[in-house]
Amino acid sequence: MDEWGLGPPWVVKEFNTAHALYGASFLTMAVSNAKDQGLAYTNYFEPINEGALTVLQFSVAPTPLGLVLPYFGQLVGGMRLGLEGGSGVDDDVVACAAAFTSTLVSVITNRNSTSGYVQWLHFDGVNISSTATVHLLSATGGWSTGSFFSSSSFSLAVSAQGWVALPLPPFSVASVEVSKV
Amino acid sequence: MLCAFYASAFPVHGTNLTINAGIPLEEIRSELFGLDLEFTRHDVWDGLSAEMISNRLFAVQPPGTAWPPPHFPSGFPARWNPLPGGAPLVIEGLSSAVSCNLTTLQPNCGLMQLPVGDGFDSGMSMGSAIGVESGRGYTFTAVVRASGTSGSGLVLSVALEPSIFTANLSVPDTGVGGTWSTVSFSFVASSTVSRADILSLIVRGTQGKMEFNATSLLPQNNFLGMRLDVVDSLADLKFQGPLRYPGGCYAPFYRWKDGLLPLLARPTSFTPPNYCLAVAGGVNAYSDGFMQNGPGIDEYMALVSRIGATPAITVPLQFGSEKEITDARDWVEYCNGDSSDPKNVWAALRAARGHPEPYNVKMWYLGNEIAWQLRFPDYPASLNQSGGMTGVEYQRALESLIPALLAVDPSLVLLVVSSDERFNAPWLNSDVTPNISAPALISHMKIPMLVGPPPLLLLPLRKLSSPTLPCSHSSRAHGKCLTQALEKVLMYAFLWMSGV
Repeated sequence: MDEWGLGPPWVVKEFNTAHALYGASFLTMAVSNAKDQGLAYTNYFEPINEGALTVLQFSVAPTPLGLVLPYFGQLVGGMRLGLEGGSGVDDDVVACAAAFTSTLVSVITNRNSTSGYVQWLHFDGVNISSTATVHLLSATGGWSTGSFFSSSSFSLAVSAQGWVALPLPPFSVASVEVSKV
Repeated sequence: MLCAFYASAFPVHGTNLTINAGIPLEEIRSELFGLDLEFTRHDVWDGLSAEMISNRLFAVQPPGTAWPPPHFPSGFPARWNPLPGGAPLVIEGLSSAVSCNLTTLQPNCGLMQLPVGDGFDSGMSMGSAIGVESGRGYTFTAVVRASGTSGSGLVLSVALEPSIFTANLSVPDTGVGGTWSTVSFSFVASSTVSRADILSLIVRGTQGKMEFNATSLLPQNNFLGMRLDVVDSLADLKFQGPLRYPGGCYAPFYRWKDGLLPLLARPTSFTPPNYCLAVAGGVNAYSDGFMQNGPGIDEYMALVSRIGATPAITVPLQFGSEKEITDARDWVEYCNGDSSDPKNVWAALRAARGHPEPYNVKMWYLGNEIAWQLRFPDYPASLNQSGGMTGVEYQRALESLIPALLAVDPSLVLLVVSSDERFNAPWLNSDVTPNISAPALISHMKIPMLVGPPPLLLLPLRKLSSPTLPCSHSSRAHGKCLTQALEKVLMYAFLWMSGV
């Protein structure tokens, strides 16, 4: 899949959280459907000053999409995990997950721009640690022009049965990592 | 910090998410997460490039082109102006061909560059202002040639105002048609200036001729001509898939062998008017009509290595000519050939340039958007053009190109341009198909500007995640089917957001 993007790149001047949520949705779809659809590769058109990195005269900074991309990049090399209900829980929340040697990593996206949720996650089939490490991107300023992400990291308790209550603010992307035990 | 309390800020989502961690499926491959490097606007040649001087090769727009914009005169190197009162400047050719003759009556001549727009990006803002940061080191370089001076040579006075630097650089007389002289000057900026007033290159002497070939101003902590901060930020994205190079619309005009020359000796790449017509003027609307021939293959491979990406190269292919096929074949050999084999002259050259081990570039795009884009067989010498390749033409080109490439390296992953059914049918049903690794789907879809109330946005986003796309897995063109499905979603999004 050559040149997926947020364009028309010659028209879009500012890349906000809406673009980032689109990117997160697209990448979730790509991860979830790659095998079934024969999707061999994708590339994003294009990172520099057209969606992922804002390059100015003396500085460079990630856009909201630029903050989202590493969340998916970290899945490389892991074994994809099936999710109950396919790639998406429903219309608002989509997710994908990967198993590594000693960890499980999930990327969960709340595409609802006005409603936050507590999303219950259940890790089934393996024993996991009692805490989950969460990195969260949460929209500030909603989804409109100029909106950006605030980022935070925190830990959540994991129940003995493998349940985690993940807070997902409106328009947010979360990375949840647990250790296998 | 455990923050279970935070969870109570929102209502519980109606559906639980179960992750089946006990049954690992397929590996998530790095190829799923790739990036494009394109020459447009601020990227490879501007946003990524550390070069601070616009049109460092003194290129002139070819006659008859629909560009340039009005702020620099036709027939003169774009973004440069002649020194007022100096000896006349002579322009011969389209690139690196500016000269002047000093006399006792006119003992100086030169060029000036004035800031245009917001600076440091030769983008649609037309910015070309030069800026320096306090405490940072920079190096100015010029490639020039002096002759007819009665042996004393000439002096090149370089200044970046206000008071950023001045230097008088001696240029020896190497005779008519003699060797070029590279003169340079380094300085540390004493203050931060985001928009210098003027860059001037003034020749001083009593008599003689000065020819200007190239010039450059770079921060000293660059990465092979690229901005170190941008390179590191690319790495921070952690996308390890294909880093496509040298671009899409730029690819047909890139001559990889020129990229083996020293940076300042690489000739200008000219891009024709109305090419890739996504915006009025095509690529020339943000390129001035030419590119400065930045990262060559060795610099690109160094970039790939530094950011941890996978190399993916687009070969120029518009006509299926013998030259195109030979150049592509040579490029594969340069990248992947065994340098110890005496037949592999390009691999030997790679080794001689300090890279004895093959680069092992596996992903090769066989053209870009060739069904869509105009073709200019003799540009910039001629504006003659024809339409894009037909499917039959592409099939014939592939029948020559693919065996030539696979003869060098049978393990290549070849990515073929696809378009509509009429274009695809000839090559899809030909003998070359078994050698194609994957169609390089060129829907090149860009979601329209994401504006509108949230519900309008969310609807198309939901559709994108549908776990069951209407494509047959056994379909030979399943990739195309996937693209079409997504295109429908995007069109739906566009219509919805447009209120249609």
